Amino acid sequence: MPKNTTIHKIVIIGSGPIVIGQAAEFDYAGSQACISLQEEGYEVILINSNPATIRTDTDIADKVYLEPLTLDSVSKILRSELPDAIVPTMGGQTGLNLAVELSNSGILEELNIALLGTSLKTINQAEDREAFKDLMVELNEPIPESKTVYDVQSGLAFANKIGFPVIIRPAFTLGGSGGGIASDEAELTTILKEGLSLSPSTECLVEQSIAGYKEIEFEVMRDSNGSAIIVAGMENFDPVGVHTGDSIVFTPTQTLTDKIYQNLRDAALKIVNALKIEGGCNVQLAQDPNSNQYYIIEVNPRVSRSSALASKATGYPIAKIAAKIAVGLNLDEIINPITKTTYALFEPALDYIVAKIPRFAFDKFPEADNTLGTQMKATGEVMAIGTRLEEALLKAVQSLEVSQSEQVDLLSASSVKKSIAEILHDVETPTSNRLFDLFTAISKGASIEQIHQATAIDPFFISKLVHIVNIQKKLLTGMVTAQLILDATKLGFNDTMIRTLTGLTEYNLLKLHEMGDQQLVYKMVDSCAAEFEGQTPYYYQTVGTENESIPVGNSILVIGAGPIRIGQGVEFDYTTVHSVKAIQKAGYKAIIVNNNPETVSTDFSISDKLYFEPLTLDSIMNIVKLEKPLGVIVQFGGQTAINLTQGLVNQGVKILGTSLKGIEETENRHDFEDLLQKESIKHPKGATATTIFEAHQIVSKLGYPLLVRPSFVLGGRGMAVVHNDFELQKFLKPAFAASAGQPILIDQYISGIECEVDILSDGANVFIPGIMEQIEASGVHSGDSIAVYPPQHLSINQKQQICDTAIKIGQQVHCVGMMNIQFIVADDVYVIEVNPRASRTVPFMSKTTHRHLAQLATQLILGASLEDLALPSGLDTEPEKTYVKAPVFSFSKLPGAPTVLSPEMKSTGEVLGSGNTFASALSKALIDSYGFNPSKSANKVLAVGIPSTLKKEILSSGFEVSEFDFKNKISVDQVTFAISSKDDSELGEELTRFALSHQIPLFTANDTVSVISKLHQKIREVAG
Amino acid sequence: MKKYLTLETGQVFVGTACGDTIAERWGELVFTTNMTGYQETLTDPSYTNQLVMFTYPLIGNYGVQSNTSQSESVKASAMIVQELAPSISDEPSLDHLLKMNHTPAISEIDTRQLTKIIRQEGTIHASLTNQPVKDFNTSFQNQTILHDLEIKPLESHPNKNLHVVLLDFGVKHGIIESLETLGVTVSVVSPSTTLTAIEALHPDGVLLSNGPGNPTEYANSLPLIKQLADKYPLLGICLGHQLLALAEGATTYKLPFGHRGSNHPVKNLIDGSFQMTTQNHGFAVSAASIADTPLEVTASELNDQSCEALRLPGKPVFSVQYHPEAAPGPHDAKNVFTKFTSLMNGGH
Repeated sequence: MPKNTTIHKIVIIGSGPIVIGQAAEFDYAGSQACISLQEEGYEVILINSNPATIRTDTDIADKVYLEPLTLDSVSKILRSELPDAIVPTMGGQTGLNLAVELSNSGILEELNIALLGTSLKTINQAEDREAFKDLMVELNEPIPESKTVYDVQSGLAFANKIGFPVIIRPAFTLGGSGGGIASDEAELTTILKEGLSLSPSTECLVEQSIAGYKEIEFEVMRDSNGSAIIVAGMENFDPVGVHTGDSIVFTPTQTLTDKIYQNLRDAALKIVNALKIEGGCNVQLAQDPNSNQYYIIEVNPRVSRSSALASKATGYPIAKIAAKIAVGLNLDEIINPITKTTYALFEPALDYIVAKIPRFAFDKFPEADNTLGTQMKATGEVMAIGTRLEEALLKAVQSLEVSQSEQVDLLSASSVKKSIAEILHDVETPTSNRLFDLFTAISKGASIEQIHQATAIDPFFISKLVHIVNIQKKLLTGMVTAQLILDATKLGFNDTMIRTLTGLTEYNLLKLHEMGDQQLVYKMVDSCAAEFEGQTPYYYQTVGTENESIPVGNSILVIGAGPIRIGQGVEFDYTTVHSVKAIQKAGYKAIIVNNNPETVSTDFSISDKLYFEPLTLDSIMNIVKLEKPLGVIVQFGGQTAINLTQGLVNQGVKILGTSLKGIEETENRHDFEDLLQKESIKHPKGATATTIFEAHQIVSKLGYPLLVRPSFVLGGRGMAVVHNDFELQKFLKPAFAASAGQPILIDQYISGIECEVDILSDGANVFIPGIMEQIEASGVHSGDSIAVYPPQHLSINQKQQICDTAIKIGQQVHCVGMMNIQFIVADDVYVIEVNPRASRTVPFMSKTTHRHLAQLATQLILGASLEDLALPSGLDTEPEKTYVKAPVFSFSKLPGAPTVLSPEMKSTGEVLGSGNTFASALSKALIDSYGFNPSKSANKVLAVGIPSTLKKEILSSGFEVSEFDFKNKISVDQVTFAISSKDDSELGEELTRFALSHQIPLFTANDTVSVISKLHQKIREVAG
Repeated sequence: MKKYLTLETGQVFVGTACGDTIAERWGELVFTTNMTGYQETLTDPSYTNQLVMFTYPLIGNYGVQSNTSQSESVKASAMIVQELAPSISDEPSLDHLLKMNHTPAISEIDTRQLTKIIRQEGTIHASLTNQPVKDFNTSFQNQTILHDLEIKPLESHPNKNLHVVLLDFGVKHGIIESLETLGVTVSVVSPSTTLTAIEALHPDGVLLSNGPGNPTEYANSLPLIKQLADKYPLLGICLGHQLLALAEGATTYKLPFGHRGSNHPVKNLIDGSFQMTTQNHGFAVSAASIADTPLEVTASELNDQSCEALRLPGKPVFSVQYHPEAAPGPHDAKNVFTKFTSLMNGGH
């Protein structure tokens, strides 16, 4: 069918803030969809509350509403915009849920707004357990049998009917805790009893266990003509039982015979056809490794994290094509954007292997439970492409940015001292660290069979790990020959790994490389295994006899930020993409290196050339040697890129923007102190310690309270405020562990208002777009605090002082481009930190000031002056509106992780609220961040041991304070929010758990509640 | 041990010998983009005399399976891969299968580079040798095609089931299995069988199988095919499709580098629907030549518009260029067989 010409204006619903399970992939999908619909000539309106996204840029959509994703707020927009249609399938679960609410409310019918793409009926059929079950029975497609039970007896009866083993999943418990697998009646009784008691609704699901089956995923596209194709088949390394978002995944499938593969493909297509999907759909299946039996696990009738992965893995842009299908085009009418001569109706043929490894936040939260199950825990992921499975896997490991022991030696620090038997016992339970535990076990001599018995991982995959370890051993102890080096390189060992293992000099290794039959080359990702001529500037490194990548010339290389983790999120994808745009506008070719499949920056249509590679010195130098770019930009890739600067400069690479010297002056403690002293800039007194003894000496000089942190970290990892010797003891060890040999910083802790600025500078003058004020007092990480712009509690003098200081620092380090400076305003203005790069607040400030700050910064880096860009020196004029940035946490996904706000960052995302007053902006921001909706009538505040002053504030604002107690039965409906701001009390922990499992808005810092209380009357008026 | 792949264009690729490490071969070099089903591919008689290269780099992952081969032996004359998966269990490996069939193979080749050469140069010949070849060597002998085919003995059948006589030009087992699954009895006969002998079997329909090589080399079979098409419901698959076209007066031509893979979109010109199909052919029926014949084109390939299916209007006779039996590849086109049985039952 040709495209629908009866519609003109289309609304796309976004996915809101980044949380675990719903992350940057929807920014990628959403921005692709916007571009795709604009290409077809439609007017596109985007609604999303997350500022840190490319798709909320006004040049991506025709109009952007940075507004809460609630029925009320979206209805208002629909009434004023009167669009012809809505696309709900680009905003994850949030988008789908909202579409259902809108439809139920009757507004779509009233305003005659069509829902494009997959219908609501289909969405319901796929998402509703019972409806889905019915459909599968009707189609004769097998699903694991299951039953919801409310008592042990019915659970036993059901299990006896379907047979053991069974899985027990308690309803609404944090991270699915309390569940397990039972092999007999006794085990079932024990687990079920506990599960029922933990579940707030005394409810458990008893399900036939298919743990140990192979987990397979298909990404399917279907159009309204009924043509359906498989874009990618993916096979999980981890068998069924681990959420696919937490699994290591390979594409294409590796261990399935054609017969089995086609059986599963048939099943997937049958379901997608029965559901009448119009667009993208994800089907997850389980395959018995020992028979032809399979089960359908789940169907997601929308673009997803897996579809982003499949798009990057194959080159086939699923969201872009899905958007065109939504407006009526069929697959045979859409040109394949990769070949430009064939059509979108085909199944990609790969001539490489792709590995995805999830990235977890457990390095930040060692106390959190890192076992993996059906609840996703990863914050992000990396992808790597190779000709060999081992190569893809090792490149993905190099992309993870984990510890040296894991990344270079492939060993798990926690299992290195254990026996094979102990490790084999450990790996029976999947954890975030299992891959490295397996490498460790293998290097100690564990066999393929032993590991298979313990983990049910397919022997094929284990044999690949064994192959890697064998080559590693040869490099360590064997005769180093050109052939061995070639073999190792083919498996993905980079030069750093090879040199660490062999002790070869750089020169000797180079000579051995040159002696090999094949060399490191670049190959194109073209979706068709070279059968047709590809047009994609999308490359990966591998070993071969032909290099396909021809240098683009006149180019500038931008280093991306790698996987999304707490402290380094989608904001840096935003800045990377904007930098590329500015480079292109300035007339240069832009090259991106990055390894995160969820992002916009790794869409091959964004830059002039994309290298999908680990962000290591080895990978980047190989690219630099080939491309010979005019320079490299490191300011937009977060700490990842900054950390590579020294190595690049050592190899003679030209860094554009602030020099290495400038970077070091802000990052190196001594240089930084010298600088501040010289300029008479106040800062908390402090010193560095490299041993625990030194630390104690410093403490006795400075006195408490103190802020302790490792140097060169992101997101305040291993950082804490300590008030006494006991607390200091508790924090020193992990801080030293996190600092990887670098010293620990110990500073006076100054209590006051925290502020930050992002500055733009041409090296001589400094422009300050605005000052952000944080509403929580110093001591809460800036990424976790609520920030308001323009500031609400600063005097003109204080603002002036902040600006003067920022200008001084910018000029002293000859900042060219961007820099982020953080202050504490107390009796005086103190500088606490400088980040010589774009920071996480750049998207927020860009959206509020309507200036593309990362683009402006890039122009400065490329040689423009502030004057050229018509930017004044000093602070920009403040806007009339007020903007609030509020953090979003994923606590319910990470049981055991600390929740009380501290210098260690914990949030995974952010939202923006805007209004004419602070109160209205704050109230909007609170809805999609803390889930706190002041217009609701509930007015009970659940608390544990809060200070009396805060209690007074809360009471005087019209709330009722209810002390939380184990025994009290609380009616959840009456609770407006909970406050649990002490992590050292059992009752506090219990309240946190209670709030999270009942989805009660949870505040974990007293300051936040204090501000909300003060503004409550106003907030209610705004919201009501 | 090293192995040398020499192209007629002069390029030499050095790799590692595997399979039968002694044997040497010469022939047409073709690539397939199938990512699964290497065993089916290598045992497909249509690959006779061809050096088969896989564009997917890792081949042999799941070993060799029973009930999977498409004929009794490996038919490809050699295999070219980037990496051959080593054996990790007691189960038979692909390497073992190749050795047992005296099929040489070469691994550690930059197969993407080779694919691009074929794409740019068109069909190309190559030799696989144990020593470097100075001048491109064409002294190797191709196996003769027709005489080497294995033919099942004729059987007489109860007339309860539908009965198909299959003219075997190099049939894949998958075709026979697909018919048998539908309750059809299949008698496999040599293409040199006479019309009288076929009539004596009282078939309900005739199937012209797939097979290797250039369709014009099968001129001897054309008169028989013409007669069969007049008399019986008939289905032609791949080579069988091309032979039906030739028998009815159409012409064939050589594609630049063939269709080999399981991701070929085919458009049904009658109802506008699409199917994802498995294909394995180097020659195609000239769609332009159809105009002067009683045939009608009923399907075409989406990307290059080549002829994918034909029918004889008014007669229960049709043919497809693709492989409805898949093996390997998607099952989307299985309806070809149900259509055939329905025609044999007197349907349309």
